[in-house]
Amino acid sequence: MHFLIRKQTGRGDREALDTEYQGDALTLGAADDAMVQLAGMQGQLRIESAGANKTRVVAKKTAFELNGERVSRAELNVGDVLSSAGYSLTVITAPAGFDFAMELLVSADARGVQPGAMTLAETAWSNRKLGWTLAVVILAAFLLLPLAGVFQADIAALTRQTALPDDSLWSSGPLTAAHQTSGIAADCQACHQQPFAMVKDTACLDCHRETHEHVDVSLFEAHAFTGERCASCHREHNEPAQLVRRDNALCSDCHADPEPWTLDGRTPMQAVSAFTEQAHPTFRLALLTPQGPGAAHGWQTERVRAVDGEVLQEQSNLKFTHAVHLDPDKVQLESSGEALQCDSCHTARDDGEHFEPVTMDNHCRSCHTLNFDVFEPDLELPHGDQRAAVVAMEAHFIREFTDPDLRRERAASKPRRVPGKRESAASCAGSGLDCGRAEALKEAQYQFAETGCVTCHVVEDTGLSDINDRWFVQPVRVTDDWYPFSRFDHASHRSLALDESSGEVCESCHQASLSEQSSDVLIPGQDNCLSCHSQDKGFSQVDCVSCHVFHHEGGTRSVLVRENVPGHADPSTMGGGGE
Amino acid sequence: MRTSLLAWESHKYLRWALLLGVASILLFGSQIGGGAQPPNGGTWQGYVLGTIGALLIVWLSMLGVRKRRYASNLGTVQGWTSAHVYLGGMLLLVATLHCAAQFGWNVHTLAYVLMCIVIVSGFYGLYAYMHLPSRVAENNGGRAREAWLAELAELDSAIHDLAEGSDAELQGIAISALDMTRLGGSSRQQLSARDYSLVQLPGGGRPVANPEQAVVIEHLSRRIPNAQKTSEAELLNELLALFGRRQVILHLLRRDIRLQGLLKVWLLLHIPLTVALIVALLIHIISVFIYW
Repeated sequence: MHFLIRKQTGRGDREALDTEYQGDALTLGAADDAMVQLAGMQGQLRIESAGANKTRVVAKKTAFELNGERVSRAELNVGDVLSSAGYSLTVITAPAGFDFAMELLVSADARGVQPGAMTLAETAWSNRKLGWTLAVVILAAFLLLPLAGVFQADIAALTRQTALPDDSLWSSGPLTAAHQTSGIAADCQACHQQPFAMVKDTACLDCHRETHEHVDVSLFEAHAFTGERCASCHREHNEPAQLVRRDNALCSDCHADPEPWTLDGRTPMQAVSAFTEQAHPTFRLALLTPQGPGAAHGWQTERVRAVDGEVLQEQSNLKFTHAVHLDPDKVQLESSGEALQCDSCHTARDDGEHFEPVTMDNHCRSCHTLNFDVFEPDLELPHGDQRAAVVAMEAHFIREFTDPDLRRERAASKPRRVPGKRESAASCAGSGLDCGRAEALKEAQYQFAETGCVTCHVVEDTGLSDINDRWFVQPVRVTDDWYPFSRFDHASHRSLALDESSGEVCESCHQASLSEQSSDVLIPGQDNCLSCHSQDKGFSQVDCVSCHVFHHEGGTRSVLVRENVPGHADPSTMGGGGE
Repeated sequence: MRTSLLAWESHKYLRWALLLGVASILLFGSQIGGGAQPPNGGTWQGYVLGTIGALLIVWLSMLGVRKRRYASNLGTVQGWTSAHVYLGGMLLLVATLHCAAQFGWNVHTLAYVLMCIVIVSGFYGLYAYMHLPSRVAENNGGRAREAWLAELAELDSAIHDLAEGSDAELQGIAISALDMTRLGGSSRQQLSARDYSLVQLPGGGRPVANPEQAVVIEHLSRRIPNAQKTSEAELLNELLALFGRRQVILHLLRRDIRLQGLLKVWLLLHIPLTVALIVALLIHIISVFIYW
């Protein structure tokens, strides 16, 4: 289309300035891209063809008056007067060569510069409007929507599954790795079960059902322990994560002053405030002690503290010397002929602290065989059952002398002399029963009193005549856990070794090659640990929980005493007691 | 302004703020290496620091209220503003120690970030209030903006009258230069002080940029040597003088608009974000106790 704009310039209609425009539409306004510049005008007017010689005007972001009526789009005909922002446009008959023509009159007050907004108050949002908008957005996104999820589980599920703001916006920090699991990580209510209430112990015990209290609450006042929440010590959402308290105060707030903690009128613990020579009591060794004659009433662990350099001794009833077994000239491995190493007998358990038991069958028997008849060297006595051993000897010799064929065979053979073995009789003059019994008694005498059982065991001669009652082998029990109230990791201490294959690393703490007696306790004491780990020295310091467990198994199971655990009784009516 | 605001009563509030800072650092230090958790907002020290911070925020935002209470006896506005500046700056330390610099995508960090933006915008505001008023005065030469605008209107009217007596080409360019002069505009245009003025040159086509009236002035000066008559040369000279004066005034006004804008623009962050901060702070406190 061809447009003509006739601009009235004088005061009246004397003079005019004609401008031609060509295009699909004619745009009028103050924007840079407007074809007809009308300074100070908001938005834009667009004049375009409406088909069939018709023309219309459309207002963008503004409105105009057409013949005195306020509209935003209209069809234009000759004689129409369109006015906006001090400008007046009259549609005139288009001269030849033009499709559309308008006369533009600028009102007197629109002459000269038409300043736009000159203060930010006119152009920017007001502080009030901005503030309110932000406040409403923040309130909705960070409080109302997550809060709706607290009371409506389906809203919580929706917000957590979508990009909508959810209650993770309230999280004060990441969870520890162990809690970053389904059912906990995204579900705040797994722990925060009730709004405005601290996390309850039940939330922890739902999963941690095997946790024990620090003490047996039937012995110590329960409220002193159950009054503390799990979260009193175990605090989540921390950076760095610190779910377990490691400070000495965890223990020393009670253990520094044991006076108030009496049990049957005495204080069962000693004052401890840190791991130093002065602040920590000497370690107590757990010594297994036989109860009654021949441990008739079993064994009891007694935790004994060495006083004034006293050397504690173990009563295992085993005769054994580490010094001999570790002497390469005296004892060699049967398979390779090499000297024994610590790990020839001692195999660490998976816990890294304890060792598998040393047994006759696995560790001793290859050298200390229990054969008892030089005529049948492959035959061995059963181990660990005195009565069975006697029966085995009697049965064997009676059979040998009762069966005529065997008796003849035995008389004819001449076995090789074996050092350390009794040369049993080849022939006998009495009945098979008498000869067998006599031979069994002689062999039993030899095994129990001279060599054999008595090599490793303490055997008592009762003086009784019955072969079954004549000797008593004292039972053997070797301590398995010397420090049951502490933990230790052998693996992390192997770094002390210069050469891990040798026994050197073990010997740096356990001086086995110097031990002549089985009663020697080769477990190092406090000095050994303090030499590296004392808290008043600058290196490799340890804290209480490095060695000690707070929730040890002697304590009552927490689910029995902590409140509101489903399916469990009220703690005030509980008799308490560990399991 | 500078001495009276910052050095109010011999830096009284600077000393208060430093005292608060030292106390906060000592309090923070007392929680290192002990207890059930590392330093954060959840230890008792953290709660104390958080309470101090929250009370500071509430008090700092009361400046807007105090300013409007002309009858108030609670200290002078200048004293309040001095304390506002120093204690507001120290809030940055108090809040950082409160949270032990632990951040995440959560409402707690939102409150912290909003607080930082408010404080930093406040620092800019302090700079603006100390340095810009003198530049405004220097720029305006002792006259109000309205006086300059009135003179501009007179110039424009005079140019209009002169132009109407000239030939169509001159009339077109002079009047279009008047009509298409841009002053003010959007917030960005106000703050940039860039001249978006246009002029319609003879021969049709789109209007061209006319920054600082340079195009129209150059056109006029080029035409003077070619003037056919003395009256034409006189007219051109007169127009040139008027446009020259117009150039000066427009430039001055644009600078004035820019400086006045710079004096105000930080408040567009400072005030609305303070409102947002108070809302986020409330949610921070509430949410911590919803999920205790």
